[in-house]
Amino acid sequence: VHAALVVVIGGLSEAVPLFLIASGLTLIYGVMGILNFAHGGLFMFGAYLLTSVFLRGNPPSLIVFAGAVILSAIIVAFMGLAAGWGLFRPLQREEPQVSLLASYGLLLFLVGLAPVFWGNQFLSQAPPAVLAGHSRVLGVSVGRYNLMEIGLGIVVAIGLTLLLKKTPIGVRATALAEDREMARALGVSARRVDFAVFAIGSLLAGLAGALIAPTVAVSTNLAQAFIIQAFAVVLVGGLGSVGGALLGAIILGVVDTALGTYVPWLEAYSFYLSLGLFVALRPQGLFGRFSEATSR
Amino acid sequence: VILRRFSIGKLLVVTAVALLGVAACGSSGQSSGGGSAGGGKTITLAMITDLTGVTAPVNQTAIDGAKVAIAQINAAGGVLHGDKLALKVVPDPTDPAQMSSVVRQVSQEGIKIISGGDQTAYCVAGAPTAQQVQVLDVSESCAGAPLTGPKRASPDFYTVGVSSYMVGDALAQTMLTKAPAVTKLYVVGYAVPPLEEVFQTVAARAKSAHNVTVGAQYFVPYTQDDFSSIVASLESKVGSDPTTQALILTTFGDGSLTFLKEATAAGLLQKFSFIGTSYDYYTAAVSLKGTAPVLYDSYQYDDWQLFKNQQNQKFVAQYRAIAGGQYPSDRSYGGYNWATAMAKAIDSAGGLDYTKLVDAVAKLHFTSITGQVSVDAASHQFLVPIVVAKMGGSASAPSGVQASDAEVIPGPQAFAGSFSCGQAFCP
Repeated sequence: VHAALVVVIGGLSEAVPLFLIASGLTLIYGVMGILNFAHGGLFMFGAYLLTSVFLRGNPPSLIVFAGAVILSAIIVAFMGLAAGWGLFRPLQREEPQVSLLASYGLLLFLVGLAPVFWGNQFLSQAPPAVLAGHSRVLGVSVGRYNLMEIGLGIVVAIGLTLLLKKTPIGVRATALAEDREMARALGVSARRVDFAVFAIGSLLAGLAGALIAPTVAVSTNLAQAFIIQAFAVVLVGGLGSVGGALLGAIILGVVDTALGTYVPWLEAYSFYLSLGLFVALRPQGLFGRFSEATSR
Repeated sequence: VILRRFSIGKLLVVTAVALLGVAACGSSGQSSGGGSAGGGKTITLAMITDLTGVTAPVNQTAIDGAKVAIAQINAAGGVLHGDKLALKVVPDPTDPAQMSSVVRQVSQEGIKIISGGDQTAYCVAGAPTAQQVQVLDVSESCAGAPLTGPKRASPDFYTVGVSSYMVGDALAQTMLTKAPAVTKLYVVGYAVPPLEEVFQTVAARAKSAHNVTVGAQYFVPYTQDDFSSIVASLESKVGSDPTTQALILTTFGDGSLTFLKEATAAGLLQKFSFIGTSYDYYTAAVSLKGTAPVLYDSYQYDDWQLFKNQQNQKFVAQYRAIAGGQYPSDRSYGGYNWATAMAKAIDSAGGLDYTKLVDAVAKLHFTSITGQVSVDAASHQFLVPIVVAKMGGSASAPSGVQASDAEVIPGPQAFAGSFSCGQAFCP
């Protein structure tokens, strides 16, 4: 029972950062049909901004930390907005491969840009003192910071769901995702919604990067290390589904921890195995559908 | 289909972004080895190394270490009859299979001495070509059976890189002394041959000496940046008595940092009476700003504060001047030794004749910061002293890291010890 609890709680800890990255990815894909590799670069910038610009590695108070996380996420949202406006918007009517290629180019650019500001050395950020250390949950030792991340992940999931279902911009974004041409014919400003979605998606990338910074080494490797796993989450959850991203992240996180516990030599391949299994059994993912966005 | 529907303007946008990305990635950390200095000729040494990937930060410390040695040698009059040394840093290719063409390219530029790669696969791929084009290939970091064993990639390949067997054996001996009650070993490491060899050596030595068994082992790709699932798995596997459990960490750089942060947050490290590592813990420990957990590190330099001799003081001061105030680490010392050895080989060979250079390297013997350095004739392994020290965070230490309880094992002794493990994987 203890081992099973370790697997579940460990899996949840792993799932939350992945969900935060994947939710932004899937949101942008769902509305704009762009598979944005550069999301990994924005995620990396979120971590760098928090660590190097705002907190400089030192353990902050909880309030300062929260402020720094929010500021980092907002700056990354503006970076994403600039990319959306300057790069992806002009390419939106082209074949999906074109945007994919452009996003990969932008990822490489961002990975190359970071050392210009922060050098080649990796950085470390300490968590707020109140979140350092660990607590026991059902007899399992869990980092307090991980518990905070899990809580925040739930808040973000609920917030995103409410945003999409209850706000005018969310309803319009959903309409565009369902049938872009019909929504535009009915008066929805695709341009405005696209910008808003790109900003929100990028904000989530920045938030994920800033939040993960105290638990990892901050380096350019972050850009590509998590984006592949996040894509796996998006594919398992279903392209364009925020709920799917949440469930996909939990499933992949728990499977990864379970394999690590019971079949350690398979742990390194768990994401690929899970993804392969899902693609074979349910190619559209858990909540995915072959929507207008997907077929565009 | 794309080209038919795609306007030229938009194609240019995409191409420009892709090119910008590639240019930005390729530009970081490069330096030129050309130009002449002073009145004599300039002899360029080339380091082919990864400048953008996971190992880039530690590779940069090796480059900086080599630069210090070259600056010192040039300041002392250079090599031969006043020729100056220069360093050219060449980014390694994305695929080891392309190493051959990179080595040829370097050779066509007239460079006669290289360190061909910083990972085994790259060194193995580049070494035969270096021999063919008569470029002396002495690696700054690669070691291990494919390069130093009887069937090595090139008979003319040498390495200053520290032998996995030597550091593994030294680490095992320290563990057996410091934590004699250990009965279970756990390992988290990168799935690359030299690092796996370190653990295999520790495990074999511990088993033969105290019948220590392996509890669980996790070897992950060296691109892995998240160890949370491994921390959770270990948490479920380790027992409750720390005195019987030891952890061997064979990651490096940001991987070590991430694992230690995640393991510390989960309270996992308290469950081991001995935690040992073998590859440049200093770099990760410094970034933790005085909070680094205490580990035993087995490598070649460990902490700059351990060596009080004048040579080290000069090395540290000059290193800090070129590395933005950072202190040198293991790989910095590796780079320093590499460039120092190459200068001595050039002087000893009386020039850049390939055959004479290869012969000269085989007979090298010099005093470095940590002690005597010689070369094993059979394996072509440089026998650098192995340093095992207890290292952890210290708020009062200048770099936030304090080493203590250090033992310096002379290279030949450490090398001989690594042969006595009695297992098939031993060299």
